[in-house]
Amino acid sequence: MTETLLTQTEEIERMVVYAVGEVSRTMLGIEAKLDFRRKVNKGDVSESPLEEDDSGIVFGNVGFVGIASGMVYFGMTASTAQRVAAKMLDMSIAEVSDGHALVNDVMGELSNMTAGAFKNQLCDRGYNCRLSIPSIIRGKYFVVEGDEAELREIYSFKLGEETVVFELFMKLDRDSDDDGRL
Amino acid sequence: MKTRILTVDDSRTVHILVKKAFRECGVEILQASNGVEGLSVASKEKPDLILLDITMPVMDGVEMLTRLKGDADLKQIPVVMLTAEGGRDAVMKIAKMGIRDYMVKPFAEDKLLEKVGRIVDLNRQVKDKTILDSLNVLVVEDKPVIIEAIKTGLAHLPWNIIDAANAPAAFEKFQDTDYDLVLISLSLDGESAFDLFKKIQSAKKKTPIIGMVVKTDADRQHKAMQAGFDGMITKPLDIIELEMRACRIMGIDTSPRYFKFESDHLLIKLPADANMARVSEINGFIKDKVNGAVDSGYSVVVIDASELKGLDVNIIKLIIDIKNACRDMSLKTGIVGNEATKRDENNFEETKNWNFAESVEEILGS
Repeated sequence: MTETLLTQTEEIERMVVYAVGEVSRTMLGIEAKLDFRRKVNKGDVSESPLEEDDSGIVFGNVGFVGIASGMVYFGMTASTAQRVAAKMLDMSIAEVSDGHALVNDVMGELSNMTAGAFKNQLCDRGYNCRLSIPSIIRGKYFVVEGDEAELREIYSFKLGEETVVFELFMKLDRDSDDDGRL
Repeated sequence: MKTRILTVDDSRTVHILVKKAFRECGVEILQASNGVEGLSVASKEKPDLILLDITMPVMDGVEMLTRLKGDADLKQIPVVMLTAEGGRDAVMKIAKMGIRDYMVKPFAEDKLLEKVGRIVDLNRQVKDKTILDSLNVLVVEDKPVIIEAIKTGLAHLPWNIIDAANAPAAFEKFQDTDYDLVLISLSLDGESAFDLFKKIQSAKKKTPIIGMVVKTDADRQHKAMQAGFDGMITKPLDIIELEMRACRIMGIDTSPRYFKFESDHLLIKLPADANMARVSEINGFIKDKVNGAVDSGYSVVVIDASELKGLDVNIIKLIIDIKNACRDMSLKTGIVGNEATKRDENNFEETKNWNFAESVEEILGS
């Protein structure tokens, strides 16, 4: 069963598209369109699909632990994050740009919602897991090494003119000591 | 006494969204950022309802709920879970702990209001005012040139713009009239802008107040956010942004500016200043208004582009969205153009066959 889900790439894609689409539609009023999906092989370094931007990048990362475990990195350029935060909170760019705190918080919450919407589908398929508290990465460039992940994929979405990235690391373990329940 | 709702979540974003959702409901929102704080506030304030997240630092929502239900003084407070944890097992487990409802993030404001409204009284106010009503706006600004810019920029609206050059004069005027909005310059002498904010809040808590602040004055922006200003607009002022933010903060219906139900057709008027923000605003109304046209038995929707200064990608996309929404409901569309739109129509592949009409009558006649 474990191996079956990990090889069902179309199924995983549907779950990711649903998660990102649901959050984007509900919280931002924007339809998310999958631009492309890219599989990253074990040990490979992945190139971020985000276009270079002087503002840098912001990623929210949220883990899930249990029978399914892994990490979701949900990110965008810092300038997109400002616009997204302003849209979500119905504020002006100036209002959300009082330092990075508020934009970071919005990114954390969007990551939490997106990772949650993804992992809840895993739970409903019998792969119980629970979420971790989100954390934020800001910078010009970063690479994640995920050698323990059995599945690693990058999904790039278009939200209108903006690009957002959902990077998924996942492994499944039916014999895990942690059953993933709350 | 006001209904009081405690939101327990480690995300400031969620606190802001919850506060925004209940803005029109006459509800007091209390906040806590983890289970320990949540129990403390619940014990002290005895709120009418608790919105509770699960994944939080210090003490999570399951632990807080367990303790809440074990406390004779607090166990009667209804709890609605508002969390990204939404697997069936998790929901079933927590439902058995005595919660009133469970809402999985992402959440829409209206759904949250609907669920909470089933448990506590919400004094929900209908959006009965529109942008085309005679609204009273008090502008507190000591720079005459800025007052003039606001008056001129908003002159196309039937709003009464009353100005005051300082805080005492403003408060006197505020007491004379029922204002829909107050704009306060944060550059007034000393702390008088913040003192005035407090006095107005004490007098009429529900009057929305926007701070006008110099773009680079981060200290004052931060202070105003902390004080609880309903919004902020930066100087130099962008009048379109000011108008749109003012409308959003007042919670008024802006659709009559663009959509008009005529006797036999829906007229969609695209404004001369159709920038990204306006296009996005119009886009948000399309579905409802097209449905309204169908409900009214109309068969034609007229897009009036005669005030546009030209076509660009955003406007073209908007018109395509309108045409698609109408096509899905079997409504015919026609577009009224002008010299500028006719000049630009051959510049874009999408617009080459749009056949701009000269007038609304020409479309209805055909």
